Amino acid sequence: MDISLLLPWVAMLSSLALAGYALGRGVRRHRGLDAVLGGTALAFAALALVDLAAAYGWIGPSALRPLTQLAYQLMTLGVIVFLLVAARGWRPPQQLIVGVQAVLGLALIVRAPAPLGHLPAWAVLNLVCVTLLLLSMAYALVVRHAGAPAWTAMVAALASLNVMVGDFREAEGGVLSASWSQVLLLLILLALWLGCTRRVRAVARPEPTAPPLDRQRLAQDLHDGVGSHLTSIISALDAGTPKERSTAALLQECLVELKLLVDGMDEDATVLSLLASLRYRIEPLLSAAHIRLHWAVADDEELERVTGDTARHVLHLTQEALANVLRHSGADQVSITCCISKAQQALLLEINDNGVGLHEPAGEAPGQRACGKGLRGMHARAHQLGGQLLIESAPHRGTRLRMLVPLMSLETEES
Amino acid sequence: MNSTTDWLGLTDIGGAASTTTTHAITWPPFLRGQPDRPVRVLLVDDDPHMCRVIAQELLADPRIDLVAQANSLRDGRHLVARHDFDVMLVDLSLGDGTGFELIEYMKSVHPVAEAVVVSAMEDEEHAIHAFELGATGYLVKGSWFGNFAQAVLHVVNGGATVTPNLARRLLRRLGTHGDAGPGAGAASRHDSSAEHLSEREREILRLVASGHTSGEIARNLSISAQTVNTHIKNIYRKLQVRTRAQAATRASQHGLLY
Repeated sequence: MDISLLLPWVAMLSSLALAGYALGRGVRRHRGLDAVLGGTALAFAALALVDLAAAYGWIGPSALRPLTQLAYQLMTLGVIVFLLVAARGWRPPQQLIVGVQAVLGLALIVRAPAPLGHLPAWAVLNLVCVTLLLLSMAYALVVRHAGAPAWTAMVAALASLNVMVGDFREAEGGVLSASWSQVLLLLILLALWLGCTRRVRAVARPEPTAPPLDRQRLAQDLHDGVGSHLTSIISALDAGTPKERSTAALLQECLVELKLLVDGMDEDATVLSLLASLRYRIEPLLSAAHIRLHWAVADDEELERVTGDTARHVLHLTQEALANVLRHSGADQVSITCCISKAQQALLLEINDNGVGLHEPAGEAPGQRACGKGLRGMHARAHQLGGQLLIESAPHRGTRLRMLVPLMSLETEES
Repeated sequence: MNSTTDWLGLTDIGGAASTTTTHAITWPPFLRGQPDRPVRVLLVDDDPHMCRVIAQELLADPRIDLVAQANSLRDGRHLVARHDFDVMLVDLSLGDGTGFELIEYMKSVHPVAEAVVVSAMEDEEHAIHAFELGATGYLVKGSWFGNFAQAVLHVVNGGATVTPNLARRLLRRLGTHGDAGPGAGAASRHDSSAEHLSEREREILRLVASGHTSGEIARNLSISAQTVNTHIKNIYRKLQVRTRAQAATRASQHGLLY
């Protein structure tokens, strides 16, 4: 085999493999990003195929220029759309530029007007459009405080512009060909895709020692086993006698805690789902204590994206605060607010009650001490989240607990 | 009524507040379950202790007539075939089979009667499967001194329950998200409005999923709590329709139906 054919063969086979993988994933999971990557890889393969066909003499030299340019055009569009989607910059202005680039690009491939300087008009158009898109991407990154994946996409975009300039420089008479730098670019895209779609964890997060699935399983088994025992003990207790009633109430709290533990183990859990199940579980306890709950948790997309340890910390913090309200406050009203505060660019969690406040007169020390310990725990949680916890309280004027976690330090799921 | 009926997600039935006052409630005459025409209930649970606890509660309530009880799938089938009843309370694990089998059988013999699952497991997949087979309620055993009578009356009077986690699953399963990304969701399969959630239904599920009670949802959307219940029942019906449609497709693919 001719050694010069190694490059197109490698380029074609590797991009076909990637296309198959990404499209297979895309079909199964209905993900736009997968489909775009698959399509891009197919265009890569097409360019290499044209190279091979020319080398084996299947197509004439006159067809070579438009065919390679067409494949290259598809490839460029694919790469740029992929990067824009990955950087969450695929919005109407960018869509317009890409549309213009596609239409004009095709026209220039077909008409092939006189070159502008050293480069064909088609190449100039592509360079201009891609540069424009890069600038818009950079602007969006700075203005919208983008996360790490978006910046990585930006770096990849610069690399692809570099590859494009190189390819145009190598092109003789407007005929493009597969190059090693394209293969490398394809690998960069693959790595970016794996990172973005969390097939590889992008953020250096401490991995759980056991696989997540087992943890969840363990929690479920614990719940089904211990939970059903607790349930039958509770049902065997006599509701008529005050002592057994209070025992049952305590066991009931255990059961609620157990269930919340299982909820927290769910890998897909979000702040919203965890707070919702917290309310669902704790409402009977609150209504038994004649405490009215005002629920002001925003049903909003951004809250739905906050996951992982952040979500768990928010759950446990709220849970502890409510436990304090139930045990010590003597309140008959409590409100829970959770939302993303646009003004402060932070997640806001607030728990208010109208109870006796934290500063009880000396003499009722035991409750207070337990409370103090709980508060330290809450401060520790807020600190771990990179947030800030404020507690305001006045005797018999209730307690207000307010936590702010800056959006920058939130752990969110790429959607 | 007490808080039980207001809190849509409350399949953890009962509440300490309700235990003392069960019989003191004045029961409006337009609701099902009057002392002269009580709601007839069958109870099938393989745990004799649990069975006793539930039976005691049902017997204590004049609005309910406990027709018969069984501890196994086999006995349960006999009861279903032999008796007239309005509600079947059934556990999912029945020793010699599953509650699912009994629900399916019951729905073929007494399609009008309601099947209500009583389970120790709080598992959304199980719940969804029960609803697919036509169940109208899923109660989780043993929170507080459970008030099963209240829960049964709630269901026969059109009440429907859904937990936040279940709402989330239902949204994922029945809702077609239009915002899945460019070119992603376009290739949706056999579309029929009978199987998909309406905008209002999706709205309700989203509100449940973010922790709102039926009272709050009703207020929020300016509709009655009963309408919220009706929407939720419709969602369960869609689940059933969808499952039947899928079964039919599968059957025709395998050449069983023409």
